[in-house]
Formats: sequence, C-alpha cells, structure tokens
Amino acid sequence: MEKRVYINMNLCTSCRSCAAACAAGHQGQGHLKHGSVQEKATVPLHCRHCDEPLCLNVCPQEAIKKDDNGTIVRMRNLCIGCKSCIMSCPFGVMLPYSTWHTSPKCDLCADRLAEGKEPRCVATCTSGALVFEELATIEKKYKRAVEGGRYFVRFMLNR
Amino acid sequence: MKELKANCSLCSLACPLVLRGGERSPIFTGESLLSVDYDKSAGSKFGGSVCARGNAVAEFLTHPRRVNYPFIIGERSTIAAAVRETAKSLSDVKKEFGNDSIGVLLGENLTIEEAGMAVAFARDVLGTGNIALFAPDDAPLFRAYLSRDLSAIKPAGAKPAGDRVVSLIIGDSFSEHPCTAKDVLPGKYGTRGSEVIVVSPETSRTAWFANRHLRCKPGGESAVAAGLLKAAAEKTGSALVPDLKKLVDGLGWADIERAGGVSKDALAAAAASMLGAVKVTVYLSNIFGRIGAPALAFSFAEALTNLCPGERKFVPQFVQQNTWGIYSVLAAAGPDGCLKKLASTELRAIIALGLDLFSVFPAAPIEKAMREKRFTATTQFFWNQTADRANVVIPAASLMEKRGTVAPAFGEELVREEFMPPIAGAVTAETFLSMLAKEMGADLAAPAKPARKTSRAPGADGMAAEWAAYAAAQKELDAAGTVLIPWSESVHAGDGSLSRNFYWSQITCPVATLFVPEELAAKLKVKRGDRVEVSTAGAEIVLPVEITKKLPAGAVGATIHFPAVRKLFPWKLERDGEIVLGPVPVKLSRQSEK
Repeated sequence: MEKRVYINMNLCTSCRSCAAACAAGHQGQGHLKHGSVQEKATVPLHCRHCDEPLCLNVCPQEAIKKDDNGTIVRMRNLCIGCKSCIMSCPFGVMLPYSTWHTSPKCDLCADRLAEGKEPRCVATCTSGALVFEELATIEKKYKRAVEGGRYFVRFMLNR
Repeated sequence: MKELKANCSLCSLACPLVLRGGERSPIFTGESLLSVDYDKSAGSKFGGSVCARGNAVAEFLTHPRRVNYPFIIGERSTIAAAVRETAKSLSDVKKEFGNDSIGVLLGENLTIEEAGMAVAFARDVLGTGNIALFAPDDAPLFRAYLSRDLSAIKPAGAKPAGDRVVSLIIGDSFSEHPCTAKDVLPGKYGTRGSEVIVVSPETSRTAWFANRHLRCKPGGESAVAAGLLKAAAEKTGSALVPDLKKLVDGLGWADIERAGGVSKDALAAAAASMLGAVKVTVYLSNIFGRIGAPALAFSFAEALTNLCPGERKFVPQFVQQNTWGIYSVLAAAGPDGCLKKLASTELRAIIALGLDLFSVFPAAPIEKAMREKRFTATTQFFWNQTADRANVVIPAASLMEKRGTVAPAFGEELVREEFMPPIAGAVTAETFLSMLAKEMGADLAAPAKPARKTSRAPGADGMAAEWAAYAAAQKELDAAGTVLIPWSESVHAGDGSLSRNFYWSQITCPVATLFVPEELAAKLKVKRGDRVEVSTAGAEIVLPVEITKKLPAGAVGATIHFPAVRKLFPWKLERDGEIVLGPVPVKLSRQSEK
C-alpha cells in the first residue's frame, strides 16, 4: 500500500501554510482547496488519489493517468481544460487554473517524492496535522483514530 | 546549486529554513533564491515548519512587482542621482528650517548594525536626535520589558507533581505565528488534564483549540491578565513587587470583571489550573494593536508566569524579527521626540528606511505630515503609498540579502548570513546611508557592535497610572455599544504592502471585509455581501459584510491588513511618542439607507 496524505482534524489550525507551500512549488498555482467546518475553521482538502478515479475515466484526452505507485497524475501537455474531471470529482477537490486553460491536480509533489521527501503541504504543516503515511501505519500508530474515528479524517474514504 | 541553512526573516520566531539558489535567467541575472525548504534536522525549532509567510520568502525576493530601480519623483533614475538629490534636498531643508526639522524613521527590516548606523547618521551627519522605530504593535512590549523587571517575583511553592501541561495564550498566536501550534498542541493532547487557555474576545483560530476560552470584552485582555495574577496571588499568598502588589491589592474584582468581561470564578479556576501544572508556557501576541494596553498585559502576564511553581516560560511574540534589536539600539541612544514632531508636522524632511508608513498604521497625522513635508526619501520593496508620496525611492534589500545581527527575542541574538547579494539594483540601508553621508561630506561606517539597552529597571513603575487610563478607555468602549476590533487572517506579512502582493493572500483574503456577528446582523438587517458604512473617529469607509459566529454580540471585525481599513483605527501619541492602538467605538449603517 502506498503512502497518502491524511489530516488530523484535532491539530489543523487553518493557517493555510500548506496551500502557500503548494503554490510556491507549482509555479504559483496551488492545487489545494480549503473547505469550511461549521463556518469556524477551514481545512485543506486533498486529492484522495482514488483506486477507481472518476476523473481519469471521464477525461476525453486521456490526460489523467495512474502511475506505478497509484498516484493519479495529469499530463499538462495533453490537458485541454474541458473541466470534465472537475465536474466528475466526487470530493470536489479539483479546481481550474486561474490563468491557463487547463485543470491541474495534486501530484503528491512527485519531484520531492523522487528525492525521498514528503509532499510540500506535509513538510510545511505548522501544527503537524498533515501526515504522509501508509494506511496500515496510520491504523497502527493512531489506534484511537481507527477505532473511534476521533482523531483522523481519512482522506481515502473509498480506497 | 547553492544551499544554505538560514532562519526565516519574517517574524520573531525565526524558523529554520534550508534555502536553495542558483541562476534564474533570463528573468533575473545572477544568483537568485529558487526554493525554500523546511529544516527537518534533529532539534530543529518547531520540527521544521514554515508558515504561509515563510513559504513566501522566495516569492518575495524575486517578485516581479518588487521595486528594482531608484526613482526621483516617480521617474526611473540611478542610485548616484537619487543619493545626490537626497543629499541636496536634506541640505536645503537643514539650511531653511534647522537640523531638527529632519526625522529618520526606521522600519523592522534593518539589522542591529544598520540601526546603529542610522543613529550615527542622524546624530553626526544630520545633527539631530530625531530618530524613531515605527512599530506600534511591538514597542509597548519593549517599553514594559525595559521599564519593569519582575524577576524578583518567585514561584509560589514547590513544583507540582504529575504531568499536566498548561499553555496560556493572550491574543491570536495561531493566526499571527502559526508555527507556535507545534509547541502548544502536543501539550494539549499529550497528557490527561493538560490545557490550552486562550484570552481573546473572538473565537479566533487559537481559541478554536482552547480547553478554557476566557472570552473577554474587546480590549479586555489586560484586565483578564490582571485578574489571573490577582487570583494566583490570593490563592498562594505570594509576595509581588511593592508597586505591583499595591496595584493588584487595590483592584476590586468588580473593576476587573467590568474592564475584562470575565467572571471572578472563571479567572480563579484558570489561575488554579496554571498553579497546579508541572509546566506552564505563557504566550503573548499583539499584532495590529489587538490587545488593549499591551504593556500592562505584558507585565501582568510576566508576573503571573513567575508565580507558577512548575517549569515556566514566558514567550512574548513580536510582529517583526528585529524590532526589539532596533528598539534597544534607539533606547541606548536616548529619548527622542521624533513621532511627536511627525504628528505635529514639525518635520519638513523624512527619511523612512524599510517601512511603508501607510501600511504600518495610517492616521490623520501621517497623512498631514506627508502633505506638508518638503522632502521624503524612502527605501521600499514594493511600490506603495509611501513611495507614491516620496520624492526619492530607493529599492530596499531584505534581511535575506544582507549580513548582520538581529534580536528576535529578549536575550537572544542571531547572526544573519547573506544568502545572496541584493538583487536587481536593491541596496542595503548601510550602503544607502554611507553613500548619502559621503555626498553630504561626512564619512560614516556601520559600527561593529552598536550599544544596546537591555538592562531592566527593577519594580513595576507606572503601572497604576497605566491601569487608570486603561480602565477609562474600557469604560468608553462600554458606552459605545458596538466596538471595532482588528481582524487578521493568517496571510499577512506584517507590512500590508508585502502581503497584498502574495499569491496566497489574494485567495484567502482578496478584499477588505467587515465581519459582523449574527445577532448584530439581524439587528442591522444586513446579510452577507451587503455593503455597510463603517464610521470611527479615524475614518469612514464602506465595506462588504461577512456574517460570522466567531465574534461576541457587541463587536465587529475588519480585515486589518488593508491600509484603508487601518485608517479606521485612529492612534494617539503618549509617553515619549509611543503610539496607542486598540479596539475603537464604531457606528454602522447600511449603505442603502443613505
């Protein structure tokens, strides 16, 4: 099982450092959306990198592919910006580029993964809310999270 | 690729970073900062986090809207011509109005050595003592530190048993210094009974995590701190220093409850929790003048920390990295009346180094001074309102582009290594001042180690008078009905002219907004998006409304990192030119009513 980004809802302070780091690492265009919780807090919404990704299925250009470690990546040179993937995403975590007519998505910072580092959002998290782990490790390390659902919101609900 | 371990330069936490640089042609020639990474090495402060501001260091240095050339009256020029023009104008003003008609205002983006050089420039070249630090949010904390040494207050009793950890946060640290979260939250979740106590009027990002939210009135933080100290002193019977003891004993619980808005029982319970903890950390954050009477809050909080019998730490957090360093250099140089002269338009020429006067806290006196002055020279990163009104604009070098010493916290000094030379025509304040001095016929070099005032005066001098003024101000706010408080998103970079240029702030807070609590919105019959006329003693502006559950019924908040909004917060000068900020009475009316 591959590593994915999980969020500990008990720790996120809505500081948006993850969004800023994401933007800094992707030519100024962030790939992270934020959603509000009871109008009081906002938390980052990451791509789940689904097992059966609808965005991949609907892409008319086959610009979205699943790579060797299960990461769903978008081929920038193939994307025509039709926004089909944005409409099909059940979690609403894809968003259009503000300047180019393409639809970017989280690539788990492939450049950093190649260097053996964690994604930018996780590395910069000021409260330690974001973790980059395998599901099995999360289940083992944070037992209460899995038993009572108290600690973690699992981003990969349909994995 | 060049790699350097450094510290973030954008606030007093100075988080460790790894900077990587190299060629960035064709946009910039020469070496440039390409990426910022998070220093995850063992023992790294806050575990290697960097907030949204820190992430913008690279974006900031190579920002396309950065000022890259000197300007004379808005026309692109050269450094030599700009220095010549400045020297000539300063000489003319000196001749016509005298030495004391020139003032030097320092922003936070200077090293201690540069601050020393600015003092020498003002004294030896201009022949004036008019030199001041313009940091209204931090300066009261520094004054409280230097004028009141409370280390004589000893812990009340033996260290408690157990493993309870308590963090007391006055203000909104998680918005202003988000990396604090890694210090605070492990304590909260670490052991049974551990607590985070937050003192703030609104359900801020920090208060969201509070086990005990002491929801005070706007500006009531100092009264709450006083109440906590009084409760702790009464419970333990400990001795405070004489002046402080007299003040605290003389304060009735009714006075404290009236000024702070928090009940005696709640304060006593919070104080008992702190006294019983094995480890207590007290944080104080006063960005944008959020706290009423911050100098008082500082001293009460420090005394309270000293009383706690467990392991204890007092962590005042400053808006900018080196404001304390600059303040201590100026304090050693002696008192000046520069800000008073600025406000009374006595200054005919101003040299503003590394600060946007209008982004720091615009008020009628600044507007008037800038209208009536004869000449202004300024160093700036971005084109802003100060640059608009200046005769000469010099492109400024940031702390990342110069070598020197900074003092991010009391008792701490940090040597900054220059990561790269100033890019694209920017010059350091040291270079600018030495060129200017030479042009004016003097020889000036940066002092190797400028004198700093760091010794504290024992006792609690002046606190009683400050409390009287504070209680009167709180009474005035009570009478007002609705109070306006500064609302900060975690996007600002201190100086609004910086933050508004960054990508993330355009998304998180693109327009100036008025946050209105639900009850008040119903009373005013306004809904989200309606435009409301906001009127204070400082200004009158129209803002779109956002309904919120975070604010108490009698308070509204305005996004403070917009200069237009800052005009709503008038300031007055007190005590050797210290600027007094805080929540203000406000009148609201729907725009359509007019």
